[in-house]
Amino acid sequence: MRAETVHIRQMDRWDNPLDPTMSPEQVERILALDMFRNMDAGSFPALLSLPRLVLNETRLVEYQRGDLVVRAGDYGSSAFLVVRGNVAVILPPGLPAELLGRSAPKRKSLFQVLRQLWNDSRMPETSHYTSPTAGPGAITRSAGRSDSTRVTLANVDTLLSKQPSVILEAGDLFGEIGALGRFPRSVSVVATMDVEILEIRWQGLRDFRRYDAHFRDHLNQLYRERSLKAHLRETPVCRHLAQELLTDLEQAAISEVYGETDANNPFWRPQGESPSDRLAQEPMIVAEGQVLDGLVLIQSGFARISQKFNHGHRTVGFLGRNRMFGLSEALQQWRTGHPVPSQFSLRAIGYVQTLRLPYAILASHVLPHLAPEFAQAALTTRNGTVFEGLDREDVGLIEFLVEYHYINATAAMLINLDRCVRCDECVQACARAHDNNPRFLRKGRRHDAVMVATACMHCLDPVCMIGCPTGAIHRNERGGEVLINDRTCIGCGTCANSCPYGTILMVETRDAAGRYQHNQETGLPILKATKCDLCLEQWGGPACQRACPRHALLRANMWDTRNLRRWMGWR
Amino acid sequence: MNKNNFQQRHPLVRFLTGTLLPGAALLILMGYGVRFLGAGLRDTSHVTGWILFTMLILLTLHTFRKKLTMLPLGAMHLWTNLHILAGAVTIPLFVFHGGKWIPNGFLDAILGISFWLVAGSGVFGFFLYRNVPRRLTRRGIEVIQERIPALRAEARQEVEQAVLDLADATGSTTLAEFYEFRLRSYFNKVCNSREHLLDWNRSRFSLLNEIKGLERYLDAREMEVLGRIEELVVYKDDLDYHCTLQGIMKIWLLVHLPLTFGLWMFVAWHVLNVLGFQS
Repeated sequence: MRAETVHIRQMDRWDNPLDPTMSPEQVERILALDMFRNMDAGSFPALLSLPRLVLNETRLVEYQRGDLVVRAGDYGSSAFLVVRGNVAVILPPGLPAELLGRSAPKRKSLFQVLRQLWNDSRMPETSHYTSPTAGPGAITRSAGRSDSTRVTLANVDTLLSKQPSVILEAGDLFGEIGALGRFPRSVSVVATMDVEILEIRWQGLRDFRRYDAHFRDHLNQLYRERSLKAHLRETPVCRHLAQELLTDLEQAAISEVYGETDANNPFWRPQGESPSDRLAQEPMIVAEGQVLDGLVLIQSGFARISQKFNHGHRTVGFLGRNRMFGLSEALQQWRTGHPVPSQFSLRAIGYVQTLRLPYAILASHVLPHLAPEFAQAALTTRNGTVFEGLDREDVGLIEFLVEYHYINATAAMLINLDRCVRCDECVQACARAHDNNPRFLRKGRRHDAVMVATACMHCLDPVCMIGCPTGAIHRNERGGEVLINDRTCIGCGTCANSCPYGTILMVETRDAAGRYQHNQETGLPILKATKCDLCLEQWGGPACQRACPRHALLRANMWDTRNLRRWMGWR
Repeated sequence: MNKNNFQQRHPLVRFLTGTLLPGAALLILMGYGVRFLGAGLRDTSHVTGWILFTMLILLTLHTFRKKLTMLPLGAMHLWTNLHILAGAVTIPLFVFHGGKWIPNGFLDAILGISFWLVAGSGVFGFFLYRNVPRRLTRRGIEVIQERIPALRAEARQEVEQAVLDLADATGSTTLAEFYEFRLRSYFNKVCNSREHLLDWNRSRFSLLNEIKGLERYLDAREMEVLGRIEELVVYKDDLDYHCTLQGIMKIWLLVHLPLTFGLWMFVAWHVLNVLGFQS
């Protein structure tokens, strides 16, 4: 194996503009739009000036009548500003799935799959790019962006007449909540005529919000106007409420934020802290014994539910997006007429956004409309808080999952060491599927016989995506898996540094001839971020899980406790 | 996991319900099949022979499936279960086919011995794979076998450096001598493999006792180093434990597979003979 080096220029943020063909005239035109005219250009730092952000983080896109601009369920990373024409926001229940034109992830062909048997690379990590040419345009745009899956709806008028919708006109912004909050899109947006739209990458949106107070206020206002109702509709207690009741709830709802909003990584804690110290640092949302005035709905982030136990607190559950706290107390109060103190404490893990529905409006608008079975279930499961199916004795497992934030995982790699024969078939299968470069380490934290291996967990809240300057790390539009686009990754290491679980590795790259690639200016090695991609290109799902001869390895969604328990051999 | 809490089924129960009972059912089914297919024949060994041959192919496919993880051919653990089940059925089928534990004739006897070696190693592996992972888990640490030599070397270097530094600083040779005559060889190689296999801890206990015995000759600073040495001795013992037990699981595979290929040579010869004399 040769170890020569070749010097190339290190890529930076501005090498990957959203529109490589954007002209100065177009930038001028965009800056003349109301949204940008109202911004204070002087509040932006020189390196991130408003014109530069517009040049690199936005693009003008023409959509034809009937084109889907945003699809419900997608994990988009852009917001959109209507420049010319109208678009329709399709309100729930939304368009049927078949109309959304969802395409399956691109799988390898049978020949490509079989070729992996003999086509393994001898080099640890190779990269196919050589050097970005001068100016923008050398790097193709990331696959997985909205332009790669444009879908046009036929008979758009008929469709709109059957669906509840809202028309957005020139100057209206949409998609900003999903882009900034890393949420799946809650609604679809269709072009009702030929329109021109300004697409704003979330990195740009983030910087506009950070440096311009007026824009920040505008985003907050938009949230209350649009997303609040959608969030309320997503919660089980409000799902079936009539429109007028929802409107009242929307006005009464109190939006609250706990924890550090701008913290890049709320999960890291200093070494050596005691469990009680760590717990004390988590902002209290509801204290045990406190009379809870209403219902708490989690909008984003994670919260820990705990109960006093002698001199400490015992974690008995956790909540995530769209889960609620305090329903059983509210129901008891409604039935008995007496205020009921909370049986548990609720604390924010990192950063949590909540909506509080006051008891008065809950009693008049929500509780009388609850289905009796639903109300009974809420009472017996004590807020739906206890980790489903596990008993009080299993608290060690819950503490472990919450303590290390594995509750964030949709595909954590769990290894049952009581079954694992240490044959490394999982590693070999991963290597075979990834050009001889395994994408995980068979080591990690343990709770008794369960080990959480160092593999990307494809988090519900992927903090690795915060701060990526080029958007190379993104959600798969269909399944929500977190993927890295090798062609737009500039090797800055932001994602690897942000990942609290250490599952993203920065590796030195080589070219096809096996030569190490070095930055032609600094002489430093060119790095790329690599991690598990859940074998999306392979047939049959994650190779690691399929290769295990003893079913000792599971890619586990932590919220699917039934599957988890089945795998563990629990009954 | 705490078995009491999660009510994990006992391995014996799992073996009974997952392998033995389905195997017995399959065998009874095969018995009826042989009676049906062999009706009117004086000798049913022809039928049982071909069933046995099919079972051997099924058993061998497990190895090839391992290499084809990229194809959606079902999860590997299902193939392993099938392998175990087929193996359990093949043993009585072989006895039934040959009419004896070891068939008559020189080459058939070699085939028979070869079969029993494969079957025996398979049964041994079955219990090995069920027993060893639990033992490794209970040891506390988790290491990748290929990393063990490097970890052992790190531990040795740390002890060596600590002892040398201490000798330079204090002029006392107690720990240096102990390292030279007792610990150097201990840290240089895998020790006490036989004890680890049998889960005895006699040597570890003795060594820790010897370390304890040094305390009377040490001052406070040396005691501190001795504490660290004791930790590293235990750590190295754990590494040896993992090295031995992970090694035995890998060695087992290196025995079972070549024996299987050997068996296939004799089976091929046997089948050719049968086909040759069929007419």
